[in-house]
Amino acid sequence: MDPIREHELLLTRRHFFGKSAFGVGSIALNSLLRGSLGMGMMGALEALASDNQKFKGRPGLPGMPSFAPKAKRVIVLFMNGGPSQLDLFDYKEKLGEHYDQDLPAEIRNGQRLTTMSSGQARFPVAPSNYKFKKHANNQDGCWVSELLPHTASVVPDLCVIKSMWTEAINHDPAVTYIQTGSQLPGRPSLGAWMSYGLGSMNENLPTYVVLHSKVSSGKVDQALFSRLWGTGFLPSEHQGVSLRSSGDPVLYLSDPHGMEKKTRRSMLDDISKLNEMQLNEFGDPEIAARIKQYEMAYRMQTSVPDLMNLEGETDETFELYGKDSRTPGTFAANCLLARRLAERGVRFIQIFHRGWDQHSNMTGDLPSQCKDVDQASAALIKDLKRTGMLDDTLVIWGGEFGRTVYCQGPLSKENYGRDHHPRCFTMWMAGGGVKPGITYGNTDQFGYNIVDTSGNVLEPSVDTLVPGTVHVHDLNATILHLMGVDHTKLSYRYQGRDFRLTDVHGHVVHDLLK
Amino acid sequence: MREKSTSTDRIKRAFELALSRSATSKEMTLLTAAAARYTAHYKANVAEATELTKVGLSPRNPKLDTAELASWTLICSTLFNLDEFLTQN
Repeated sequence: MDPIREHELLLTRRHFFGKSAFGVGSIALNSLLRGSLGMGMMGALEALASDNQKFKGRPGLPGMPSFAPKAKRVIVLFMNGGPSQLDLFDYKEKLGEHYDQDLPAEIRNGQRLTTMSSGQARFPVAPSNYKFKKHANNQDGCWVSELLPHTASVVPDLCVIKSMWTEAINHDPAVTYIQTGSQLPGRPSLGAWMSYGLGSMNENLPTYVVLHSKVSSGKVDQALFSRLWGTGFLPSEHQGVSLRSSGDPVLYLSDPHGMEKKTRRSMLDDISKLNEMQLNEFGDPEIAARIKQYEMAYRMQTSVPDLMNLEGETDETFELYGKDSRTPGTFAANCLLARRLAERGVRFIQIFHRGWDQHSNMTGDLPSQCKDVDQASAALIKDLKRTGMLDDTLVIWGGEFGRTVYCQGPLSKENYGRDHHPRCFTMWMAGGGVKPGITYGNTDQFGYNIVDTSGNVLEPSVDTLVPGTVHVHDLNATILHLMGVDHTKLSYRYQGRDFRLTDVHGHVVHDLLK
Repeated sequence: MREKSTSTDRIKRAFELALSRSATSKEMTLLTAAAARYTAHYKANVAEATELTKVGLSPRNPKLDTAELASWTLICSTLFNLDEFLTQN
């Protein structure tokens, strides 16, 4: 670190992080825009400004959102491990005929496999053991597995993408990729970018909240790391705050016995003043972030108990989410909590559910995984819809990659395993400006490669948009677009380079948008 | 508390132990005022002080005055919560 350079940066940083500087900046920009732009734009900006003020929020960057957002908030239901698209959404009617036959070499086409199955002598096709039914949507229907009956009931609201793809083939790089736009750790997560770019709609709660779910089977092979919801090089105040699934949602948030609210307040004032002395001396923006976080924690002493108090929720609501929703820490309880967070203006909510890594024992594990999440995922859609919030809330369901059509390990009619498959996987989105009741993208008869509507193999590319394919960067670009942000404009200078969530890639997939 | 008897000396010592530097005069002023405020509060509310000093696993020294102990607990907690204490760079 060069101290002189750091000192020179001080002014820039003060300008960036000083509240008043921001305020003046936004006011100036506001009046500039008022002079030069049509009312459509102003209407959108004013709508956002009023959202930010509903619970007294924090403004985002000047000029953000840069166009009218379709979604004000995002709820991501993350199925960690790689759910098997072939057993859930990507139905292959004739796959049964290929049971235990070798996957044709021209289908696999020499693509790399993980070392967990690359040494196998054979790659025998494992058809799904589950029955599929076609459910009516706004096109010619959507196939859904019998394992997801509740999800099937909201198909008319879903935009099911069957042609997601990624380059990553192992969990950590793949999850890191989808969370941060890079396979290597160190970049800010999507939620952190949103907090940075768009600001907060409720100063009493974090802008990005992460919820972890209990997994009924107890089989959770893959770890999650807090860097997945971290800020990377963005100021720390934008990082996701993870609420615990049992006991106090935030540890040590409540005051100890013998400390009155007034005493706590005066202590926080002292800490803040002492930290400010350091900030003035050194100008480290991380000190500013810490001051803000202490204030946030103080406000959360009130807002979190209010959030967690479910007394006002009706029996009908609990029934909608399923009986698990009364047990804190379950996926169902977290979905209900996500709706409460959304109501309170939390912009980005992410629920993690682990255990979707079925290398073996697919039929033993997958039903329990689905049972954990199916009803509540659908309930969230229904609940948001009945309160009118689905229109401006984007809900996303999926994992970091898909699973292979060929069997990993022993294959029988009743049971099989599937390895990681990045070349195609299924996710769904709902609400917040996406087309309801559609499916997007196709895969070949083996569910191995992405194909066009005539069945020709598409060569997906990270550099150009290939219609019918959706890369991880394309997904992130599309999410930002729905939030009113041009993914090429939301950047942060670090180590001499302007970084973006989508790196130098990403295309908005307009086919998915209303 | 056993080492130093005056408020100023205690703050100086605690500050140096926690942050490896001497407190500036502004920092001294602020912390001295805080210590006086906490002591006054806990002397007037000894029951509160008793509750606060029960927090934590290590047994409290019964020879120390409860209100004083509560008050200096908060001063130390203040120092331990400073960015400078928590961040190494």
